[in-house]
Amino acid sequence: MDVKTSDIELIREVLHENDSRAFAALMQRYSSSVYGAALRLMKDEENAQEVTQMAFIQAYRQLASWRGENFGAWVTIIANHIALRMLEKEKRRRVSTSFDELPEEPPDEEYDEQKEQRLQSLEEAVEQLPEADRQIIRWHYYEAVPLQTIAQRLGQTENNIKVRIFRIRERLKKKLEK
Amino acid sequence: MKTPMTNQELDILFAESAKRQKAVDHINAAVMRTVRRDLRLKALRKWARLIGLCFGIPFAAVCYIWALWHVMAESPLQTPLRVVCIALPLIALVVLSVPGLKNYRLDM
Repeated sequence: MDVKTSDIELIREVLHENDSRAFAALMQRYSSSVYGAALRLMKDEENAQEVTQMAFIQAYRQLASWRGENFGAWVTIIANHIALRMLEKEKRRRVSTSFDELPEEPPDEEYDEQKEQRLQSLEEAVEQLPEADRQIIRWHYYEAVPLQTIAQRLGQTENNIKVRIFRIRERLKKKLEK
Repeated sequence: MKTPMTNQELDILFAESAKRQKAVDHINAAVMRTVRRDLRLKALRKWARLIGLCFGIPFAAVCYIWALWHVMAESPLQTPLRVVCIALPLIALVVLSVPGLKNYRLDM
């Protein structure tokens, strides 16, 4: 399915049918990359979450004015604006605070550009997997579903699932070679 | 030359990605709560506007005519002049409100 067309269709559903599920689908598609962009600027997970939330809410409220091609890029721009505004506010607050009252600078270890890139690559690689393999990865690594349960769900043996996971991992490792 | 990724590195990456997914799910849930609240408010506004259109505007018009009628009834003017005094503001009101009613949308 063409991603761009699909974005437009989902937005049409949100606007004309007030379908909140269509907006949830859009968010599912882009929230991770928008969060990554926010984290790149804010360098702090809590603030990045706040920025991402604000960006999507703003995008939802201004959806009727959207004339773009790529919804994800538009929300990322909104998130960047919000993040820069927040940083500017924080900077001004720090300047107006006397040096005695100034709190200690938080350690800047939450954000790592390389880690961010690797995460994005992994997400992309997982997205490119066939649906059945992607589902196994989702269950096993993201939802911590036991191997036995996965085997039952797919009507296969536990060993079979282990072999499949091993093969998928090998494929992912190859794709993620540095 | 490309360096192969080790199993340990991939496990760490999966763990981080799962952690990220949790954060993103949390964001999605919070945004959807706001979206649903907005939709409920939108529906509420739509019904309020519908009720306002069906009952509010006729009620305001009746009140206005009633007040005008009473003022005119007690005025020392002659009947034709009273009719003109009642009719003129009413015509002006209708003329002024037509563009607004034309563009009236319940889902605004």
